[in-house]
Amino acid sequence: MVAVQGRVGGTAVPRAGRPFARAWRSALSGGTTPGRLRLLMIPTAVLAVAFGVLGAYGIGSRAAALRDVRDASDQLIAVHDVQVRLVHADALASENYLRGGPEDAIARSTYLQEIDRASTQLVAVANKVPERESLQLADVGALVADYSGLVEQARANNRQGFPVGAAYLRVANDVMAQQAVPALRTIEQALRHRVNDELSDAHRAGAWIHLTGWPLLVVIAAGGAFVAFRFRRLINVPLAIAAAGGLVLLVAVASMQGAAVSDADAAVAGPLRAADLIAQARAAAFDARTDEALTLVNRGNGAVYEAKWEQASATAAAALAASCDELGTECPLVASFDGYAAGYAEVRALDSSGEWDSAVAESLGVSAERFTAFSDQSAAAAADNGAAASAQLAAAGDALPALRVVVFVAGLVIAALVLVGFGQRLREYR
Amino acid sequence: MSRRSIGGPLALVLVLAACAGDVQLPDAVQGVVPTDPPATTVQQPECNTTQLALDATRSYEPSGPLPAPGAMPAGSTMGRILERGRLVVGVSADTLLFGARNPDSGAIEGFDIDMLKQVALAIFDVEPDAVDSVMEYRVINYSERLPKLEAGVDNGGVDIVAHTMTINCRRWLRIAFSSEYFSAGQKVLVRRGSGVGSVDELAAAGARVCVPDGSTNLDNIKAYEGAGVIVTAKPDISDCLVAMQQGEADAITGDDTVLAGFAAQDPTTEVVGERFSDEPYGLGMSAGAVDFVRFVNAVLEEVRRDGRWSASYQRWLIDSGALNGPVPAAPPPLYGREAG
Repeated sequence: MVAVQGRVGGTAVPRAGRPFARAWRSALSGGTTPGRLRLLMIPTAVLAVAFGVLGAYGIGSRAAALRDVRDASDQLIAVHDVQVRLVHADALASENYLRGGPEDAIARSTYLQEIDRASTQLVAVANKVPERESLQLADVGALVADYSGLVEQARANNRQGFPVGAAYLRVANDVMAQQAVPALRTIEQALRHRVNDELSDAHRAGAWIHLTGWPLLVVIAAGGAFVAFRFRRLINVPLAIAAAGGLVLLVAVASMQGAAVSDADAAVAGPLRAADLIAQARAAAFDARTDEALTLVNRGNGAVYEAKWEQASATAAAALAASCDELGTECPLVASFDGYAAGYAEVRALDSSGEWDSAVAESLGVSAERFTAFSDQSAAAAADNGAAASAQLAAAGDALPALRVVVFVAGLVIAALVLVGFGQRLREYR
Repeated sequence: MSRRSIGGPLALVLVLAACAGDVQLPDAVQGVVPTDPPATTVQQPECNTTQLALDATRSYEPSGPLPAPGAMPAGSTMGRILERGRLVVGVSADTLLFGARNPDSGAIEGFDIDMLKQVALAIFDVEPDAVDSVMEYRVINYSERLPKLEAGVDNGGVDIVAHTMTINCRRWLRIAFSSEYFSAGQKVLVRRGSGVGSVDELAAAGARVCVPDGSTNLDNIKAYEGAGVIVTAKPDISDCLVAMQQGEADAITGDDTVLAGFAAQDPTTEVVGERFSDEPYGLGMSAGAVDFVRFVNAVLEEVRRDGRWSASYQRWLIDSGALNGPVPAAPPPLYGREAG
């Protein structure tokens, strides 16, 4: 607010706070009318410009935050994709090991494909995430290279019937499950926090338009009332236009910027949450499938992998249940995974009663079929939700850049109208 | 005045309204597995001085000549096995040369398996080629060897265990052993051409030695730590071969039988040195099945006598390239243990 000096009838130079208000009141009650008119006009015009500038800034802030939400969301989905591909590759490597020498060619080529795609995706995401996550992703890349080497050693030894191959497979699985996957999960958590932080920022940025707009309208109305009272002309047209137009604009802009952030909210709470949960379920499910194979590969020493299967299965089931109960989506996946779990129980029963060969046949047969059914269904669900989240988040902030310009220009126009409106009365004093 | 005094609180209310009810993406889901209460560890009995005084490799003397296959005495353990139609055996499936799966045929084979097949052929009247039809293989791990014998076949256990199992006094308190059928000992596996021929030379070189965790092998090698050996313990001995092949260890110590299996998988290695412990292997049976132990000892005597023992040794330990010849003499049986 401008501190007016000199003209105000004999009072001291006003400072901020109560002395200022007192000076203002005394200036309004005492002093000349043109003086009082200017006292109202200049701060009002400045407030209008501030509304334009700060309102536009607030909308711009919101737009930027929503863009960051979308980026973080896309990165989260991408990192999930990397993790799922890697554990899928692990499951394929373990299953093929179980088959012995004559491995399944399709499984082998899918394994190579998944490792390839995961590696490419790792590099692509590393270029987009902040530096700390980027370095962690580089580490994961190195681990994937180690993992691949160990799997090849396992295969080479398996071909020759050497039991040390199983040890290589175990070591490879440790690299994947104890090092690479936890690193990816840490990155995913950081990205979730980023989504949340940026969404909160987007919410808060909306305050600017209100903080400047409503006071502006009140000030214009008060100024108009003073003019009406002083000059006995009820409506000062420019001020009336400024007030009415300002009100309409404020309501429209507030609701549009509100819609932008609530669209983003809906996208995060809906498809993004669903994509997050399903990706977690898929990663845990592939983990379980790998553990199933390893319980059979490590004959007689499979107990530790049975315990891991239980943990992985519980995580997958919890994620799918959350998706169905919380969001009401993808409920068929719950039954699909239960079907696979029942198949696994069969495999364990056969192995425990000493029928290892039948257990292997069951694992590579019925259990594999049920798992593939779940994996295909969940892949479709993950892709759909991920695409929906991305699209919705991109669309959420669509209108905001244009709105920014509108608010900025509106601020200038309202300032001009205020100057014209008060100027009309001031002219009478020339 | 009204403009200024409502502006502040109004802004605050708006900002708070914006913050409340923020949508947040929840953290990762964690599945919970109900954990069983920890099993109370049963204190295993120890041998007293009198028991320790008796040579652990002493077993029960055979009671007479072997009955003909298919004609076991009624009411005996062998009779029950014959009636059942199959011999249930506890074996390893990843100890190369002793009990490992043949990737081509899918069958478990090795020296230990050969001994079990001889026992089965002595009970059942079948052709040697068809012996698998009267055998039921149960793959068990190191810690299950004794419990599976104590449980008995009716409770998910086995009749007999051949699992590179060392005979010692403490185990005799829980199960019964046959006479010694293989003489093993702790040695060291090193790179061929490394010039190392003993544990002392390893210590002098400050070598990194890998050993299975929680084993008597670990206790034995730790004695050399002061002399310069760097000991790494791994959960499984095959993890040690991985470590050695990946350049993380210079040598492995364990039973020379297991090390021979490693040498067969990796021709760039060799088993060297004198034994620094003796590990006599025995076939394990239930403590109460004394008649079965006498029977198996009689079978082993014939196997030693008519060359089947040497043939198995030749096939598994020499032809595989694991050890150098010649075939040693089979360990002689020692009897004199009192039943009861």
